Amino acid sequence: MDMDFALHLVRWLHVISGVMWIGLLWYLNFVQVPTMPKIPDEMKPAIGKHIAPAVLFWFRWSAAATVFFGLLLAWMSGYLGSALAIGTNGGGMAMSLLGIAMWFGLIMAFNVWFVIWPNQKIALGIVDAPAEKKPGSARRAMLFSRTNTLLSIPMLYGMVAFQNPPF
Amino acid sequence: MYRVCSTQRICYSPIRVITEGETMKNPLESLPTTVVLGVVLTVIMVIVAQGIAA
Repeated sequence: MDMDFALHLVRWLHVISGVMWIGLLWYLNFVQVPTMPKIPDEMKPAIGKHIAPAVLFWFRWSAAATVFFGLLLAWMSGYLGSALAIGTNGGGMAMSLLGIAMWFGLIMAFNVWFVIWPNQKIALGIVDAPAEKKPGSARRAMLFSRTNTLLSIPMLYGMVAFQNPPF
Repeated sequence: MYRVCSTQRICYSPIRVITEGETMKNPLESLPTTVVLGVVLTVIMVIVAQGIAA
């Protein structure tokens, strides 16, 4: 396969998996969480038992796919090391922006797999846990999800700015 | 909440004192605050990237 075409394909896979990840993150934070208090109690199990588990399945696997294709893309392009060093060894401002954005993305993916998902499993009753642990787990998952929403803003800026620098 | 009231109509409460047993609200609990913090972090990121590149 031609290298340019391979890069083109991997970038497309990185972008579509990233759109799914951040789309679901923003759905959770901008739609589901703020709307839950307004939903009648008898309808809440539809979210907790059916919609949220499906969202979280696609959420965590799209996060993994985004990171995998992103790192592969940077490695194939020859700037993985420079980006992870946030441009301290050359590459200019665009490389620094990409590197910071990459680290934000890696932190976000870590949060998804090792903080949000384990706590959501407890909060949604997917794993057995004492009832008194559920509110704390739900709050921890929500706050880390909000942290990811916060980080997604500069992360997306850095990714776009690498292709189209501001200065 | 401690208030300084000069009349019945005008009340001024510059600070809110956290009472015992009450915890400070996490700014991430507010969605608009989260978005504002994200924009602020973006500006800081650009400044840091400029500094590294210079």
